[in-house]
Amino acid sequence: MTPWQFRGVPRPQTRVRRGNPGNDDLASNVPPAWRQDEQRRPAMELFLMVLVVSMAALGLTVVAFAIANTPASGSESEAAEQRPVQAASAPRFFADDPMTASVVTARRPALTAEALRLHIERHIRLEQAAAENFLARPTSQSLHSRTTSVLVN
Amino acid sequence: MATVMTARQAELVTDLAPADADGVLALGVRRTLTPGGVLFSLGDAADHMYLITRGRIALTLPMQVLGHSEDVLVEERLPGETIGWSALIPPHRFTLKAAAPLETEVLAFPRAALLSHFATRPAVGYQVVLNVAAVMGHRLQVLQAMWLRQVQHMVELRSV
Repeated sequence: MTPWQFRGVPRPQTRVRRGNPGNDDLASNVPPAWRQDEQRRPAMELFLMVLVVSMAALGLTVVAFAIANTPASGSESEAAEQRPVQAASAPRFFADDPMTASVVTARRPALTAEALRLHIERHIRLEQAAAENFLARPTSQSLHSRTTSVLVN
Repeated sequence: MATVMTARQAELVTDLAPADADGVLALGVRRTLTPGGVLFSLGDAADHMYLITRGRIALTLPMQVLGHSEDVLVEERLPGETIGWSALIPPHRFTLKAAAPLETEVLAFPRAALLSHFATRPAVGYQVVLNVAAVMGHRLQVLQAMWLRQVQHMVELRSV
């Protein structure tokens, strides 16, 4: 697009070449306003070309950035939303068996309680031994001697 | 202490003449417990005192562990040791549960038979009660020391 097309002004048929002696007569027939436009035209064309190319590049960059970001975040969030559903709905054969599930849930706390009970019993034995030691040699130090019991350390 | 003993070595008849010890031991009724067998439970009426002659007795107390009631081992008693002195001391209720972790044999002494025997032989009764008091006193002292240690732990935890 030329500046003339851009402005909607019909382009003059006569072109004035500087330094061309054959054109001097023609140049003398051109109105002074036209003559000034003719002198500014190359700079204006260059400026508009740079402006249009810059705007186009900026537009392309914005569009490319939007395309690069929007679908990626969307698919990520969708995947994150679907993941638990898939995990929950995935078949877990024996674990899904209500009989097995009840045994597992019943056994898990029992094992933990068993382990804790063993800790308590070990603690009692250690404390009993410390108490017996105190009775054999009753001193303040032997009464409050340190224990290795995990329940108090 | 061995898992088997002669009854005369038992702490219940310590410092008794052999004839007097035999007289007391003759009151006992032999009882065999299979592994896991319960001799008495917490809160049961204490009508008998027991002398372990073979095996082992686990004394447990119920504790709430992670929402479950668990029998926690408090003490283990071996042959020659006496359990169930609550039979002689009011209010005659057991304060522990006694069970046999392995096959165990005990002599069970009915309270009525013991008291009747002691009534006719006060010196024997005095010595037996002294022996039982020694068992009780030792346990009291151990528990007192354990309790004090526990309080000390609590104080240390609070002062951190």
